Amino acid sequence: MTAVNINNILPPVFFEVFVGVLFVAMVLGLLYDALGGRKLAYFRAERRMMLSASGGGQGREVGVAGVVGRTIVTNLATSRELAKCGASRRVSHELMLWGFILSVVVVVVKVFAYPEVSPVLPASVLGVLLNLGGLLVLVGGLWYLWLRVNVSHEGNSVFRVTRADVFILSLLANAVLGFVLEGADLSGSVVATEVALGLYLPVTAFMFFSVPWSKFSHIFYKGAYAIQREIDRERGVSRLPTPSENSYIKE
Amino acid sequence: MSVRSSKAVHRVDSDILIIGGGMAGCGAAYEARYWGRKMKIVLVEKANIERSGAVAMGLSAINCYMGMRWNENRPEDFVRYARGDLMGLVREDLLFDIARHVDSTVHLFEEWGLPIIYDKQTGHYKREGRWQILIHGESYKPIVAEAAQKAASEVYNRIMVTHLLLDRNKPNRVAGAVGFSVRDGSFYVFRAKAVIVAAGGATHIFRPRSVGEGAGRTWYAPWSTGSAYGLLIQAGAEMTQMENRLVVTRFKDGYGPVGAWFLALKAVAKNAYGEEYERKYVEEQRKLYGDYVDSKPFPTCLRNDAMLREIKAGRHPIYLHTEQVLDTPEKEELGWEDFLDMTMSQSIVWASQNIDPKKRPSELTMSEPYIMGSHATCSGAWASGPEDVSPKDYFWGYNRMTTVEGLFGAGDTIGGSAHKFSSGSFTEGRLAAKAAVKYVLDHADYTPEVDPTEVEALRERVYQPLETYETGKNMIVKGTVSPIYLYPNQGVIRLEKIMDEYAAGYGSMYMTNEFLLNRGLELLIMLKEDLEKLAAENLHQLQRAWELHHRVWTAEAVIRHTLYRKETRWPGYYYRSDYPKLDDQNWHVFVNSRYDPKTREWFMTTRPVHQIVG
Amino acid sequence: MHIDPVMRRAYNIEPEYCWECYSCVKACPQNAIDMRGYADFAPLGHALTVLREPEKGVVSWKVVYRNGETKTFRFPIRTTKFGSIKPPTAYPEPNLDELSGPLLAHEPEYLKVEGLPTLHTKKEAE
Repeated sequence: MTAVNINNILPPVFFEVFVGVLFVAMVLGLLYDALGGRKLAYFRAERRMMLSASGGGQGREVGVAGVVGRTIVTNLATSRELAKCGASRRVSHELMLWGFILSVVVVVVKVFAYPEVSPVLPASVLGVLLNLGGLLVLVGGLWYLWLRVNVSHEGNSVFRVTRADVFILSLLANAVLGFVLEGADLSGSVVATEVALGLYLPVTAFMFFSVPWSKFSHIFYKGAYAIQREIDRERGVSRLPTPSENSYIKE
Repeated sequence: MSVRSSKAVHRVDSDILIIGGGMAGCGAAYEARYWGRKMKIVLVEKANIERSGAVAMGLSAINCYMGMRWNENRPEDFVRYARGDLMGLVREDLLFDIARHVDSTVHLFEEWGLPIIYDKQTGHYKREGRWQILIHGESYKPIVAEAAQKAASEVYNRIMVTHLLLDRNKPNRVAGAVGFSVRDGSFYVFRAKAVIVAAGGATHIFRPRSVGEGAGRTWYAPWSTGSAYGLLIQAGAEMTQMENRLVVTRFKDGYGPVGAWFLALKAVAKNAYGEEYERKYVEEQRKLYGDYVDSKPFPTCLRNDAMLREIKAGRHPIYLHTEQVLDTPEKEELGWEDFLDMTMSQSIVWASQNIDPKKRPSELTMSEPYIMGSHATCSGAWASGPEDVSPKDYFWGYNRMTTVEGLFGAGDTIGGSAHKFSSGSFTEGRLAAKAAVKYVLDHADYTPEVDPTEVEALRERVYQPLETYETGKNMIVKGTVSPIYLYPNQGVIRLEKIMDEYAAGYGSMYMTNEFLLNRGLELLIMLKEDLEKLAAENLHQLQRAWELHHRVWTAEAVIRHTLYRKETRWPGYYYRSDYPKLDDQNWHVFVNSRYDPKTREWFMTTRPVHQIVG
Repeated sequence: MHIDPVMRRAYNIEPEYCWECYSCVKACPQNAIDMRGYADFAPLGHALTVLREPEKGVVSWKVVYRNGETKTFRFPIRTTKFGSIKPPTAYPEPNLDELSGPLLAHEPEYLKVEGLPTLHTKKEAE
């Protein structure tokens, strides 16, 4: 039984356009939220309030590029913001984060550089990486469903679904359907593969088109805020009092 | 959400059940474990024990410490002080008992890590006042909670206890309690051989001075919802001094503390014309209230009375002249720490209104009334005292046991023992717990039983407001206006208006009379009936519904006691315009009440006040 | 503080019963909660932020006035490590005969006087 060649169902150019459209939808969604939703304007206003609460100055001089780089490597890449929330949350987020990044990179590389290479196991390196990405997302994401703070701390049922769950659920659906598609592909059934594509493509599109209304955008906002906080810290600017140098605990 | 969806029922059995995880509850847990090494000790708290209760924010002082080690005070001195402050009506045995033990509690706190401030010159604790010492108390509650958590077998957080359970076999004997989880809604049935109620006194019984968002700024915690009284009254416990409500003079709006300002910083309160007024009316007060005006220190209620007279004469705003005492950076820091350790809202008043305490004075106000047992007043359960101190009619077997067998109380729960504050409440918890351990061992052969029919009926009752909402909401399109049900917040506001207008709230200038009280009672009873029609949209509102129940029971006791005492014993807390004088001839007694849960009747009586300390 | 059902973030569901106790502000691991004084009486433009560092036994406050003036304060909160309290079971078991007596745990040592005060005379009920 040979795997189905998806290029016979939908040509490579379709996928190039599809990925491009999703990227544009994501960007437009973000702009709609940040500009239309006045979040960028608020961010600027908040900067002004923050600096005046800090005593007016811009603080010490700081090399922004260095801070950005450092934040990305030591904070964003390691989900360090979640360290204080407990190990489970941080680990589960790391799985989802790297699974998502891996999956996106592999898909983009495959679609634009290796359209002829099949992304299913055990055919190719791309296939291995894509499966790995999907697995990381699946494990981290399923775990996360129980870690959602309304479930873990407010006694909500894990099956309770609200708008806040749109991103995590579409992400998980995307991972699951990705495996379903792979299975259909490997089974050799064209019909099964067509059906699987008919599910996988809309769900993936939905994930990117729902950016203005889902928690997808946290990727950008949390990232931006983490960088801004590091810059503020380096500058010595804060709405909070400075940490104490001394301890009052008698050993 | 509705009760039709299956809700788990958790049954928790224990030797000792402690209801309420505040200062008193934590003291009870610690001491119970010390004496009952192998006992199962369960503590249940409607919030989270780490910050629950009135000490959530912290405190800047411990207001009950004798300092016997440095010959600063003896317990007898404390009894005399509280007796004078309460115009003669206190349980001297209970007071003596607290005073003789409280120092060991405070020394324990210090060992646990509470930073107590020292006077560098004397090497003693730095005194704020005769009974008060200064502390860096931001983490007072977390420290005490840690000790309790290491003592209790289990601590149940986020469980609201709604009712006590009585033994099905022996009359007037406690058997446990029921409640529900405010997180997941499951029902809890607690069974215990002894129960210690260390729940809250009552706020939001009377209309507060701020009414919008500011309704949250009561001086005593808004989550002290009278559960101590609501639980006990319905179990048939005898209550005392429910008419002895507390009105506090504090910084206006923020209700920030004044103790450090008056006592440690020696700031003075003056009227708008710069005149001191506290002693202005002593001779008039003497004519009405007798020689209690000579008590030293001048009784709290009489200071209130003087301030109220000034306000009625239009000589307010009354100011506390902070600007006259902040002459050093250390004093300024003390003044700020006083607020930041225990009432951050007052700092926010200064910051938001551009008040620099070094440059201008701050306004004082008299609060709305509160009902509590641990502060300058002592409403609560009528309890047995300690065997070695109490006169015969104040002792019936076990220290701090109420008139219900096996049911103990501590902290705001217990009446007649004023001026305990935080350390005294913790100490009272210890006293109750030790007695409860003895009670359990003395009655080792008997385990009370709960009636399963009663428990099931209570279970339905507890969730009824959710059902009421789910069904009744179909009558209206949207919103909160319904002819067939009442939201808890609507009930609280109605209660506050009734009590304010008829039972001597601030809106009535703290004055009432028999006609007003009877009318208030009539309206309160209609509100009580309407409680059967409370609606709750979710578990949070369900908690609010049961808090309202406890508040209404407390309010009913307050009105009945206020009606019964035909005199003005505590001017400045409240006045009976139909009996404007203090009447020691007839009323040098405790006013007590007991509600019979079977016949649903209230019985009022008096009990003698015994002077034990000379 | 409860979790908002739309975006799954914490918010104060009932500010009209908020005591401004700052427990939530101190507890938030991301320092994401701010307090704005009650609208009933607190003009805008003020701030009171807090940094509680239990591992150092200290709390720090920053007051910002409406007119821009700031003040900062730092106070100790604990002299011992959090978690270090000795449980009551770490002490020797008391003699249960003492249950009938008036002494509480660790007494009379922790009273730091020779003995527990008692009343020498008791007035009987009339």
